[in-house]
Amino acid sequence: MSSRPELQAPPEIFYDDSEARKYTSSSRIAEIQAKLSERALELLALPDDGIPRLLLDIGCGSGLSGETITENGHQWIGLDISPSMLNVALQNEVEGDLLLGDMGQGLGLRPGVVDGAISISAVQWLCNADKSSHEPRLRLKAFFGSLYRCLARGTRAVLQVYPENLTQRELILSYAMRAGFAGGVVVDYPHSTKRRKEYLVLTCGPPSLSTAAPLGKGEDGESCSDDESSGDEENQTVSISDRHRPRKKQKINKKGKGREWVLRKKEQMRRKGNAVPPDTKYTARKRKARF
Amino acid sequence: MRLLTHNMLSSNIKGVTNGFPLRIQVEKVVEKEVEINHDFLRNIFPKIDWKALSDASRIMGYNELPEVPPEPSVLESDIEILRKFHHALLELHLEEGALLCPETGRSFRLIRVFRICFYSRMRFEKMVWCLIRLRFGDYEF
Repeated sequence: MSSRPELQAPPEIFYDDSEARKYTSSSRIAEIQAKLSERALELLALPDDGIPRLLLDIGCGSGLSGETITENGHQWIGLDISPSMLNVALQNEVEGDLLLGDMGQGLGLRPGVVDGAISISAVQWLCNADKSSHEPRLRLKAFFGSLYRCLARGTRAVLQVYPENLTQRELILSYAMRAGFAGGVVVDYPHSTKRRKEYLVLTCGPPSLSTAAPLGKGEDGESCSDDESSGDEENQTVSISDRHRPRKKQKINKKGKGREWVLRKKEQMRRKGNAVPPDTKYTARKRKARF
Repeated sequence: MRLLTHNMLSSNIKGVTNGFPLRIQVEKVVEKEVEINHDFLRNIFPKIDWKALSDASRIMGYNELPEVPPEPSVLESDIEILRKFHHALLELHLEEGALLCPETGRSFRLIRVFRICFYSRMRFEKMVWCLIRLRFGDYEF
């Protein structure tokens, strides 16, 4: 992660029209977002009785995470700071209501009304001071304080974050605890660099049995060594170049691609509207043996 | 915006002691049909401030909600009141208008966001123009 968006510009500037369009049209990002919000909902551990709840989506952006909430049958209210992202959400006609606002200034909701809150890749933005009036500590305090107030007792907030370093994670967590939350960090795939995802699972109310943080995925108990099982996880994402691998696989297949393959490819290119030379008797013919 | 959201929002301006309920200025109301879910309504009922909801629905032009909140037991059986509750809560959309902070009177406008985007693009173009002028200012273009 060499280029963190947090370091480039404030969120309302960074997510401008073009970035918002890019964000929503990319199927890869959409898939990751859907997975993250699915997991966040799972960690939210809403009672399984089929009753729709009212959830809060902090940093809802273009409503990708909101769509997952809708699919699970819940109502939601989304908050974001970037007008461009909200505009995309409006165009997509998402189910929830959208609020334009800065989470660092508090949420502006009535106390005790929300049944749960999720936030996908948003809270780490609070750690940056983008204006001279911004003080990350005060903003974190205002955010967690207002979040604690608007949640109903015993409900959870699951915040997926990308902290830049250890200090940032501790800062976020300490302000969550100071606001009165109980809970901790759940790390999915802790051994993988790319798939590693951190979730702050916070429970509103006094600590009890239900506040114990659930186990992360791809985590083998206490051990931190690279076991076989975690090694498998890694191989899926981190490609390790192996010296003993056969050099080039194509050479093994001596026959090469035939005339049909070439014709099919040319047809494909034609359909795309590219300029393709006509098919003749010379197309994909064999070279003479002495060549 | 649905009245469900209006019922949850309160003004968080510094120094305001009671920022709820936000007053509504109506310019355009739209009704969108939503599937009714009785369990959700019964579940959300205790969290709803009934007076704020009935007042707000009256401002939006829907007069059928009673002023006195019904008993939770009535909700179990009375489908008619559930339907009215559902309509006011989820189907009435304030499409255009403003919300006013009850104490300071500050208004939060409700807009279709593309206007903001248009505005910000304009501002961006202006900014680029200023930059160009700055760039070339030294050379007296």
